[in-house]
Order: sequence, then structure tokens, then C-alpha cells
Amino acid sequence: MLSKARNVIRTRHRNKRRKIENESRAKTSETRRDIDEDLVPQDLVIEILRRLPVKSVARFLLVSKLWATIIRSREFIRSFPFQRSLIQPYRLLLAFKDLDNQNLRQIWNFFSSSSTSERLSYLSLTACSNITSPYSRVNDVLHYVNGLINLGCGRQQIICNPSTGKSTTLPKVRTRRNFIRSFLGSDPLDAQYNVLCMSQKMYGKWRSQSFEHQVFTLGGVDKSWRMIECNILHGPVTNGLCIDGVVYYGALTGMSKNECCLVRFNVRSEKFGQVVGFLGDHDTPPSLFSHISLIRYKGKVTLAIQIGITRFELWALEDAEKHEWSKVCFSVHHLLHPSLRIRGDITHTDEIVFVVNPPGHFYFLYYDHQKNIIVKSREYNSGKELMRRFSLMVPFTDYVESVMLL
Amino acid sequence: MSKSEKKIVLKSLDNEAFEVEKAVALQSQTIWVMCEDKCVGNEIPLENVTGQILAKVIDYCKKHAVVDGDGDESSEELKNWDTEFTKNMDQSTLFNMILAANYLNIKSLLNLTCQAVADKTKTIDEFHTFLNIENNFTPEEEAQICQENLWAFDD
Repeated sequence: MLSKARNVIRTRHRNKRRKIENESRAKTSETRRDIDEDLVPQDLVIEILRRLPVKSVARFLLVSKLWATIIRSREFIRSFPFQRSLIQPYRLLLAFKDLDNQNLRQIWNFFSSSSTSERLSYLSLTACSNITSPYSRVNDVLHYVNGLINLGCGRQQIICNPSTGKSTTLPKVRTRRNFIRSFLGSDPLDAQYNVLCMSQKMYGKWRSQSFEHQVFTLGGVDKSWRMIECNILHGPVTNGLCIDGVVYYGALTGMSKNECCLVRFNVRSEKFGQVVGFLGDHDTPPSLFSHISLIRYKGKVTLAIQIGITRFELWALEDAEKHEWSKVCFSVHHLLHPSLRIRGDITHTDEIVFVVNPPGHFYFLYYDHQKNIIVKSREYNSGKELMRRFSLMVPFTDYVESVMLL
Repeated sequence: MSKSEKKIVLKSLDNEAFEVEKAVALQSQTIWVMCEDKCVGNEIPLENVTGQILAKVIDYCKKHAVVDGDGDESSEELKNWDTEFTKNMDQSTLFNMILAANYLNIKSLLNLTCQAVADKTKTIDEFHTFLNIENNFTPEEEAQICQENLWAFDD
């Protein structure tokens, strides 16, 4: 690998000589008009670079110091990638966990696939220390937001970019407790990524309150955790979801922690809020939470609840200020459903994506709620082999490449 | 409106004059603003565009003006025309087209040419040559960036 990098440099210096020769030749040509780097506005450089795959962008860090600065600027990160069309093939991101017991590490291997392909492409891997909490489902621990993944590992929080394999380890979370809940949020307007962390006591599976709320801004000037105010007594119990600069998660609240609410955390203002009034007449909400995933459905924050083996309810948040929800019920009849789990939807078709995860195997089902049918099922050629190699798979439905952390 | 009012003359950096229909030229927001302000006569000097590039820009605007006006060509045909339009352009011309589209403020042409450059440009040195950029990294700095991004240089 190293010698490869050295070769790149050697070739580049050779090319530099050739470039000078080319230039003198070009000057003799009449039609040729030399462009001065200073005359090329930075937004034009951004216009070109945002149309390239992330790998090419990383290579073009070497064009000049100015280009490296542009590529690492908030403005470029925010504008990347350019959407050729709104009906781009939608992509899955699959995270496979591997345990390195000797070094007490877990290694996450990332793969992606477009909806039109039966192939999984390998992206990268990231290692982190092997701290897991007995009280949190691993599906809820991994957070994917706008191209970055938060590998929540107790006090050591690692943020990685699966497109590039680059990661950054944050300073230790300011707490003595080991049970840490963390959520990743991004504000799309200024490409700001914030990690929200809180600690919980290790007892009382569902009724444990969260303390020590703190925020870390990626790439910010302040390289430490900031303690923030939270006036809502709550304990998070679901995965997190970030839409339009707001992080959402399901939580238990109230004195005896048996009322449910949806907590909203505004990434920019760092203020908490809550939304209530969902779940209707379900009489035992706390236990219900073990079957709830937070997903994006038709662009809205939606609680997807598995009621029976085949029955599902979707509670979509219509208006957070008015605590208004809409509810959709449906049954999915599928022969092999040992663990049917909703993972999200495809934005432009509104199909709901289920992952089916029988032992040593996995596949995806795409369900069209309007027609009440499973539109397609997708298996991967290498799926069984990957499940033999790795202990666990976590899928994400809305994978986009990001140029963060380059 | 008399016939002469419907025409406009665009003059390039190297003093080449192009007489075009106003509807064609007004696709450029820059020219549109100039005409609105009545700060120019019938002849508009374009100090940043050579005749060679301006001729191509006018070709593009003519094609797109006709389609927008008459609507008898499908968007599919227009797309194919766009592809052909940039296909045989060399990168030097393309970069100059980007600068011209930016100066003249023709959004669709800017999109088309930026995409073509992104599709065609594969190496760092192409950017150095065509945008006349100097590599101002020391070999040590280059080595460090390569080291940090080995994944990007692994094939």
C-alpha cells in the first residue's frame, strides 16, 4: 500500500515535467486560452467536484492546497453529492459486525448495494472497542445519518464514514457511568454534525432516566463535550432518526416512566422538545417499545410497530407542534417471517423495506402498502457467506456517500 | 417590433461579432440584465469570452431557444443533442465553456459542461493543465495526504 502511494507521488512529479512541456506547446496554439487558477471561482470547482464519486474527490485533494481547502469546506460537504435525478437507484448500506476477541475489539465491515443489483460492494471497515450494553439492542446503537455512522461504544464514541473508511474517535464522554446512549444528528443547511450523548443507570430496563446530556460538534472549534440543559425527564428506548436537522427517538417519561413520548432534539439550537399523543389505546406501551423502530416513511418521522407476527402499525408524525399523528395498519403475509423487521422506506416509491433475518441468512422484502402486496424480494449472492463470517448484520435504507472526514 | 430590434449583436473578447435573435441571446441572464438596464445599445461586448467559445455558446442557445419556443422537439431529443454537443469537445474547450456559461449565467449550460468535465477528467494532472493550477504541495505534504487516503489510491 505504501509503495503504491510512493508511486503515485513519483508519477506525479514526472507528470509535472511533462505538464510544463505540454504548456509550452499549448501556448503556440491560437485557440488555446490559458485559465488562471485565481480566475476560476471556487463555486465552479465545487460544481465539478460534487459530480464525482467520493473516491475521485479524495484523489483530487492533491490538485492544490486551495482544492484541499475547498474539499474540506462546509460548503462543499453540504453540496455533495449532486443528484443527477430524483429517481436514482436507491442504495442500501449493510454493516456487518465481527469480533476480535484477542484485542477486545469489534470490527464493522460496510457494504453497499443499489436496489437494481444483486451484488454487494465492499466499502470499508472500522474497528472500535468492544463495549456493549446489556440493555440496548445493537440495532439501536448504530446510528446512520447523512453518510456518517456513529458506533456508540460506551464512553468511547467513534464516528466513521463508511464510504471512505475514515473515522474519528471523540474525546471520552463526561460521565462515570458505562451505559451511554448516543444519537447522531446533522443539520443539512450548514453540514453540521452533532453527537448527542446521555448516560443511564444500569438498572430498570425500561424505566431508567437519562442524565448528563452533552453534545459534541464534529469539526467544530471546541474539541470537547458541552453539557446542555434537558428539562424533559425521559429515558430513550428506541433507535434514533434524524430528519431536517432534528433528532427523534422514542422515550419513556412521567414519574413512573410508563408514558411514552417522542423526544425531539434540534441539532442547531440544541433544545429538547417532546411530542405525545400516539399509540392510541395500546394499554401496555412500555413493553410495546421492544417492537418499535423509528423510520422515515413518506418523508415523515414514523413509529413502526409490530403488533402480531404479521400485523404492523405505522404512526406518522403529521404536526409536531399540535401533537398530530396519522395511523396506518396493515398485515404482511409472507411464508418465511421468523424475524420480520421494518427498516425504512424508499423515498421515491414509498415502498416499505423489511429485512428478514433467519439464522445464517438474510434478505429484503419491499412492500407496497397501497396495493397491499410484496413488490419484490431481494437476496444477495454473497449474503450467506457473509453471514457465516460475521456475527451480525445491521441494514440502513437511505445510503448516500459523504465527503465528511476526508 | 421591427426586424432590427429583434436582433442583437454579441461581440467577443477578440472582436468577433455575432448577430443573433434576441430570444436566443436572452437565455443568458447576464445579457438579459444588460438589456433590461438599457445600459447597452444593440451591440453587447463580452469581455470574457473568445469568439471560438462564444460561437459554441450561441449554438447551444439557438438549439434550446427553438425547443423552448415551439415545443416540437422532445426533451429526449434535446438530451441526445446535449450529449453529442459535449462529446467531442476537448477538455480545454469544456473548461472555457464552463467559465463562459458562468459569466453569461446560463444555468443549464453550466450544468451540462460541469457534468461533462466531471465525466471526462480522470487525473490530477488534467486539472493542473487545463485550469493552469500549480501543485503547491511539498513531496512530504503529498505523501501525508496519500498516506491518510490510501483507500483512494489503491487501484
